[in-house]
Amino acid sequence: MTIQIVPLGAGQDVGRSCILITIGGKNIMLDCGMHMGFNDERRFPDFSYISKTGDFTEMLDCVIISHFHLDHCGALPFFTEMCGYDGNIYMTHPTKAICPILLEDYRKISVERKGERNFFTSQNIKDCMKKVIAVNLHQTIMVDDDLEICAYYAGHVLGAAMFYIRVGEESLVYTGDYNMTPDRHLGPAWIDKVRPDVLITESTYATTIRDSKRSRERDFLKKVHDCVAEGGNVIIPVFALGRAQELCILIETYWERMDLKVPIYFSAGLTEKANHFYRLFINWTNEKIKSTFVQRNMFDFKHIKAWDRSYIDNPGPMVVFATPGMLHSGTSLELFKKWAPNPKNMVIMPGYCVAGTVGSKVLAGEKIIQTDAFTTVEVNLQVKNLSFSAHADAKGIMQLIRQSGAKNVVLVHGEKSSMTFLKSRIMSEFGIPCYDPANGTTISIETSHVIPIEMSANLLKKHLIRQSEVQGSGNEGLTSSSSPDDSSDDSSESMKLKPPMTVRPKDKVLIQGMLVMDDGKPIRLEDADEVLDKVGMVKHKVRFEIRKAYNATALRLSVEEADYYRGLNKAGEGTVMDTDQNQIQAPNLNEDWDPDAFALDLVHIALQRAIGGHIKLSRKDGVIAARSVRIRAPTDQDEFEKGGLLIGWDYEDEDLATAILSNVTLALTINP
Amino acid sequence: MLGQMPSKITSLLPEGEPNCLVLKLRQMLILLDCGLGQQQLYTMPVRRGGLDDEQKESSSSATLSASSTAGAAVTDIHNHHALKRKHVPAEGIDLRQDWASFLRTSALKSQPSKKPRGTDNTKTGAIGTFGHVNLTVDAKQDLLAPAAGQEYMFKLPDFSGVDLKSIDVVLISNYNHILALPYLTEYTDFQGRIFATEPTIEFGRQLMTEFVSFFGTSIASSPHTVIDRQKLVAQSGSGLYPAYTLADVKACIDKIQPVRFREHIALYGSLKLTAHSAGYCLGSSNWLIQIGTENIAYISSSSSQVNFHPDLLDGTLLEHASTVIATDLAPKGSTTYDNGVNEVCANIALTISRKGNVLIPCTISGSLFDLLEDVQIHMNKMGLHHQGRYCFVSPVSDAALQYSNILAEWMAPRKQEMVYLPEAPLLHGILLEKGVARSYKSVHGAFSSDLKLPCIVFGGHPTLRSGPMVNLLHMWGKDAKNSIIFIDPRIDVPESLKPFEGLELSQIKCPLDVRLSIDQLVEIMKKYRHPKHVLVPSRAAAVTKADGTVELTDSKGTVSTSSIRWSAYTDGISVQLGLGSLYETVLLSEELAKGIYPQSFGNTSIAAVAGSLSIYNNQMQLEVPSAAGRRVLALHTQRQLRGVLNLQNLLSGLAQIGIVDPTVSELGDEDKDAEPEIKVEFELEGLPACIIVRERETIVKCEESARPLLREPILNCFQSL
Repeated sequence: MTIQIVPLGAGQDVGRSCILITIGGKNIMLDCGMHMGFNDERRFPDFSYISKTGDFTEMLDCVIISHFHLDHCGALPFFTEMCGYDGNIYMTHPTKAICPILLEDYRKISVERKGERNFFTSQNIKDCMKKVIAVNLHQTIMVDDDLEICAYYAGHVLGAAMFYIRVGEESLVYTGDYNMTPDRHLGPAWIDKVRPDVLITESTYATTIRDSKRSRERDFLKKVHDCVAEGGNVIIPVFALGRAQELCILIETYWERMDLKVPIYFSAGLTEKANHFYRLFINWTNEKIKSTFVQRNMFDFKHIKAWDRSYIDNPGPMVVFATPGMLHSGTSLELFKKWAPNPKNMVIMPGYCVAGTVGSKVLAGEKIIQTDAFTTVEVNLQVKNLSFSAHADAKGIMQLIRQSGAKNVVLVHGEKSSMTFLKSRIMSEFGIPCYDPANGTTISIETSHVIPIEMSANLLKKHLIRQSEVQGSGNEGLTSSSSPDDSSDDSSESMKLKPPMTVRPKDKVLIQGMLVMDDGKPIRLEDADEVLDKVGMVKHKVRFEIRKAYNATALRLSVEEADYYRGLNKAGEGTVMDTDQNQIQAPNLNEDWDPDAFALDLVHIALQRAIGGHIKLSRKDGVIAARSVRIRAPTDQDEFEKGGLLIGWDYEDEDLATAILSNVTLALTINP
Repeated sequence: MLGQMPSKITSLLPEGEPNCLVLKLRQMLILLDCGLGQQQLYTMPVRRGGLDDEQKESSSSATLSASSTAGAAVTDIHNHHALKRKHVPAEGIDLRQDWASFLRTSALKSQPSKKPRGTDNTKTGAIGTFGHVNLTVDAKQDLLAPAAGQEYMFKLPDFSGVDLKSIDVVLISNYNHILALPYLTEYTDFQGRIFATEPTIEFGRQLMTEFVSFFGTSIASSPHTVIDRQKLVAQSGSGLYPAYTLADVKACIDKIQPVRFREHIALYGSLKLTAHSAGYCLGSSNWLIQIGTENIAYISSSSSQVNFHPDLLDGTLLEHASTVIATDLAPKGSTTYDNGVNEVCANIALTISRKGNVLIPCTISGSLFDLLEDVQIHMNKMGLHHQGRYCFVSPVSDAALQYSNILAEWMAPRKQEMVYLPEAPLLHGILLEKGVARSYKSVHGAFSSDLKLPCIVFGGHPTLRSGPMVNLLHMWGKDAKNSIIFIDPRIDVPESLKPFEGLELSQIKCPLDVRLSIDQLVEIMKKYRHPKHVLVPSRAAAVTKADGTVELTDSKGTVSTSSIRWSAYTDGISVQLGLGSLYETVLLSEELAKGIYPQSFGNTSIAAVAGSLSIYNNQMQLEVPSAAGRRVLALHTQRQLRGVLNLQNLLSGLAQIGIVDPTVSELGDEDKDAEPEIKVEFELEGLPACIIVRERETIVKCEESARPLLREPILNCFQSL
């Protein structure tokens, strides 16, 4: 079986995440993002790759969105409403709630500011969201009878999730963006040891070993603090949701800690609503916020007040979060125009700006900016660019690979050069294959295919007992027969009477059985005898009885010789001899010596040593028995000549008999 | 050992009490819920006030700051107490409110004070007059006269026949059935794992906290409570336990592993557990328990109502189940929920319109959130919405109210949609925001200062043995304008009210029972694939026959059908569960499968397989054995030979190896007792050999050296596998 993966976006690149996978015959699209860096058709993934005729609903079994950032969901309304995909879309509850707001913001810039046509409409966004099925973390969703998906916490932004996808026994994990270290308001990403065949992971910070987010935050706060301490105003253009809340928490906690009185304002009317989203989804934040929210909700900001236009002429200093985020209109532009000429002021650009917007010009470092046809602004204020996206660093990526127990790794959402570095590290550290496909290239990953069957519990029980019996009694048998006065016939009888030991969990149990494949029923593993009886085949027993010839006199001499040498050794170097040899009583030469009994002794000991650990051996009335195998000295009724042992067995134990025969041959061979 | 032990189920608490059942399933011992018997509360004395955090805290802070107004002894106790609780963060807002109330009450105190009335109170801390009601706040009374030696002692579920140490798993279905859990985890050698949904854990924690606050150790007892309590347990002799402590609650809650609906949990290789929504309250679950191919559905408190706030009942677990254990069904003949709600609304409206107060003893959870919406609608309809104020009084009400509103994912789709607006999905969020509803930790402090009459008070313990309702009942119970409405269906109203004398307020019993009735259960069983065996509590079953099977009388008569076997269980008596098919799910590795060549027999194909079974990723997997394993397997191999031996085939086979003239003799015909047999004698390499052929048996006697030669011609006569 193979899993196929094609990145339509985010292959050796950041932005426009869209990865197609084929697993167990199911086609799934992971994320449906847009690229902020393009304004033409390259902005969206090339959906014609999926289908030239546009029957996307036919082709895809489902679309999964990992989180609400536009480079992961920005193309979704385009895909569903304008390309006509009408199948299942899955995302978490917070993503479903926040994603349409961001899409609407983005749409407004593209259409209303830049006058783009052929763009999705507000209604498109609404219709698109209606098709979305919201999922809970850890809940196993059956997309159809074979395809199941399950979301895990990813910690990147509110509602970000990693998705585990399974078809039959093949599985894949797509991480989306994630963060393995807890953050101000989010917990760390976590996944069960699901042992996916393939792990598709982001690799934004593939070469960063330690995420320097904390220190960047500290720098940022210090700069803001310095600026307001000097009496300057700080403007932070943001969109109403997402980064805005992250920055609010950051500044709010700093203000609280430093006991600052400088006012902070948040401009848009949306604020209350936006913060309300965060309050309602408090379950998706980290443990600390969750456990204290009853006393104090982190998103009820104490220091951050609603902005009023009249405040613009306040003497300051102040910090203002103003919408929209790209300085192309509204409050943020108004404030920027007023504050830009004063070098004491500061603007902080926390996000990406579409080319052509005032924001992008500010970022480009232009000193004179034309904000509209009639106005130009002189930019003297300090400009800071800062991204607070939380991604896993190289250590975190390695940690996730270990945590999930992945068998193959595919890197996406990162720079090509850093991917190459991480790739070699993963391959050397884990010894598993790692890929970094470019956009539009297919990679195929072979998976081992296991077949689920149902095994008879009785069969398992039988084998467990068998294993525990021989392990319990086999050793016992050896020790008891090693005592010299107990090598008589009934010595091994005692072990038969010992109660079977309790079944302990075993690492491995050897199983033999018969697979039964009936049409329409699950494959079952049953006891072979039972199956064959059911099938209606007559069992025929074939018994072999053979004479094993040996030279009794020569054997006796060789043993005596061995004894002699052993005596020498003992007297000389005091070497400890093979204890098994000690078990044999030296035959008394003066008495009527029975060569057959002696041979049986030899054989018994040899067999104890060779197979006694696996097979129950017994010796009674001059007969050594192991299952149907019987070894005895011939009697007068037998039609065989004297001077040999009789060995008989049923054909079903042929393999055991073969093993025994070869051991008997060895034991009875004169070996000076 | 697998498949050998009979599976059985035993209920440890009587019917009508919370759930606590022991399920022995093959080698697993599973505890289904861990409820604490509530009936025992009726035999207990009433504790005034309830000792709760806020009361302790506010009183102590108040006394500390204004110790001149209180006796020195009091200060000492409180100082000590305050020090002990140093690490607890002070709650600014609450304290401020308490300050306000304290100042007000002390201001009132400086006025010529009225004689306290209505209670046996001699050391009244403060008297406040609000409207026409004299409100007596007797916080200090409780603090000064702690009921030393008057501990509440509780009987646990009957664990006598259970080896607690060997319990593998505890499954909790909802917060109603969790109260005995800290005893299990903190007082016994239990070491298994516990699973519950996130809301169940949180509401369970709240309920335990409330329990500690209502029935816990009184303040004055030694700080070394653990020693004390163990002594108490020992002294009681009859297995009675005092209430656990908040530390126990925390330790217990920390041991519970949170799960979500339809999250697959695999344990110990073969056990699979899945929680399914029960529709009864937020996070309420039914559990599907799978071992191998055996499936058992545990149906706890469930509701098939579709217009409630919790996620809807998910019956799909019944599709997989061969055995269904149904518990906590609504008693027969209980009023429908809708009728009950109408009655409650009507009574509230009636009381409010005559300027009376309404007491509703209940926990701040579950169907209360739905009731609140119905009440609000009704009040609006009646034009009373400006008159009544809602008060939630419980040490945990704040947490319960706030927490419930962030659980949209656990709610019905209708409620889920609201967070996309975004709006608080439950009405009380809006009511609290507008100030129409208020939440208090106890009836002391802020509650009395804020009080605006008339009001509707929710909270307290439904048995009326402790908690704020006791105080309020003393305060308002003598006034016929007020009313008390019992909505908890599990409550025995006469028993609850027994200790209270001379009550004038109207007492209304409107049990709001959302649980499944037996009729609804039968309908659900019909809807999903019929399970083989359904166990119901014996009182739910009409007739239990001698053999344990049940004749159910629902509205349509007997429902025991050939496909569903109904039987009943009573507490303390174990019921055997019929075993389903005894199979374990095993994965066959690709490598091993490649070496398997099936032979067909009609529709069935069979193939011998030998492998090494290992537990991998919580799954049993059959793989190609190691070289050593193969050698061991060879010893155990049982070859199969099937068919009937044909003498002609044998002779021609022998001819091929050069035996052209064997002596063939038939024996046994003359002797009827002996089986007929054919003896083939010949010489091979100069040594004698013979083959004796019987109908089902062939015996080959030869020298060792001849065996390899003879094998082929004989085996070729049969079909080997």
